Amino acid sequence: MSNIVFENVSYTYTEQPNLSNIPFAVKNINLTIEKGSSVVILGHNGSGKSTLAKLINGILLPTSGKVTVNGMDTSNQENILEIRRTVGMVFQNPDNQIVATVVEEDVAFGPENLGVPPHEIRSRVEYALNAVGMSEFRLHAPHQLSGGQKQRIAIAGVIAMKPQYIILDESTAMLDPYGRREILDTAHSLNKNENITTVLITHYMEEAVYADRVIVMNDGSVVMDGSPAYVFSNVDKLKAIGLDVPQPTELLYLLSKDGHKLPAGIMTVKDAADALEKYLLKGE
Amino acid sequence: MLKDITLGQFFPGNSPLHKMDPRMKIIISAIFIVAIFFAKNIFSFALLILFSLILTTLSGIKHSVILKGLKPIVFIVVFTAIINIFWTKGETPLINFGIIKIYPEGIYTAAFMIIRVVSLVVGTSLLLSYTTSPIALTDALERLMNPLKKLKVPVHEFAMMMTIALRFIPTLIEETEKIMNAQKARGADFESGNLLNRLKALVPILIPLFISAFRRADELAVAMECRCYHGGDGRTKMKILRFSVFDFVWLFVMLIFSVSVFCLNYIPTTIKLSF
Repeated sequence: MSNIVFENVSYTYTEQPNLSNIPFAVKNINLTIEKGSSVVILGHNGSGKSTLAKLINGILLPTSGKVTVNGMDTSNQENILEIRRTVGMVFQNPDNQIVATVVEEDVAFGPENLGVPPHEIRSRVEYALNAVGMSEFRLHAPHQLSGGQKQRIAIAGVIAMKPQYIILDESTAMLDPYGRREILDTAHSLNKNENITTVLITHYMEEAVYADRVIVMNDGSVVMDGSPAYVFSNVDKLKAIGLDVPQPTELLYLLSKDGHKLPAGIMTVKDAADALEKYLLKGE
Repeated sequence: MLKDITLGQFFPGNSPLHKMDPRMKIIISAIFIVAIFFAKNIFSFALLILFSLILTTLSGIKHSVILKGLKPIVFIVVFTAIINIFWTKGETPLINFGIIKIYPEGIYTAAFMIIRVVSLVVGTSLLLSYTTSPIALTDALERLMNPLKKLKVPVHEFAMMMTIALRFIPTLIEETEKIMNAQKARGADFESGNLLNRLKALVPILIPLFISAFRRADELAVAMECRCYHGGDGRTKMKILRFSVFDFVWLFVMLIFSVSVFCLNYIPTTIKLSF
């Protein structure tokens, strides 16, 4: 039972549940996130994607339905520490999640809360800082670091708790392109090398390209769920809910709309160039 | 610019003072303060000066820094010294200008008072702020006050608050700068006008600053919860503080110092003090 399961989950922020027309942030979600996968949840502002993330580790409890992590129900208070240890969460603003004035102290915060013995905390901190490539900054003050570096510290703080899942809730939204790259590479390497399930919540399409699975949310519901190739081959559908597609996809989409026979669901520049070359050579 | 201010004036280093366990520093500072107030005659005051000088040399902190640290107390020291000089009564006046009579006792009292305040400030800032990082100090306070937990004093919570406050000072300073620039770009004027106008000009800085601080607090609370924070119960610490032999040598030296101050007070001198 190592996965995250949503069973018919709805959540509303309103406090009067007997209103006739309740605005649900998410409604009737049925979803299973398998361990070891890398998942991207796409959606524009207000689509319910952040609510979904907070439901996973029990920061929010479902208004109706049930969320379980490795079989543990989030609504059971006894499970909550174990769930939060299992599911690490990194937020949008790097400044607002760093607690201590020294990098290594901050990374140690999670394990300290869990009551891990001191010498083991030390080795976990070293391991976590290594995993995000920040070992040399261990004694720096957080405010001396760049946005991307701070966010990597936040990720290290989560890794030190030895989680099975890491949710990055718009963690790249406040970063410059370079910082964004840092975080995506870190997430990618955690998924591949440490076998940690990563759930990336974002509204940047490019971040979805390398995921195993893309879930598209709109108005509190899942509207598309599948491989990146599958999701990005439905350009019309994505545009209808106000989402963009990666530039290469867009180019091929526009060309095929003009009658050129090009494959759909291509996401990288290289693949697009290859497809175009093949098409042009064939056309000659 | 504002970002570069040093917090609590900590100067990293490797001196014997830097190496002392922060808990021992707090204990030693307390003993030092008590000793200062026991000093009553010229010999004990001489010892006080000697000890302050030894501390200064051992710390490796530049003298200019220490003198700078004394600046804020110059006014109060001078003011009390003057009061002591003019208002202390003795037997035979040194200078007699009718109403104004200056007695030698007044001058001695003023001099001793200056030594007392200066060595107090120098000693405690050398021990606590110049050579101890704020985080080590907070940590040490939490550990020293740990027994108070039995009396339901929220020791851990206070220490956590201190840590978070220290952590967010640079962040909030940076934020203040941003808001000021944003308001300036909209034509706000912080530099001219009378005091009232300038105070009024601060309102558009303070309100956004407070709103953002509350939002930060909210987000930080959620982030802490996500990292399994549930108060001080069952919490461990990565850093283990251990007293070394060296720390006990310091304690021993300090105790000898205090006892000497106390004993030196009994050496008879001709100088009489009014305290």
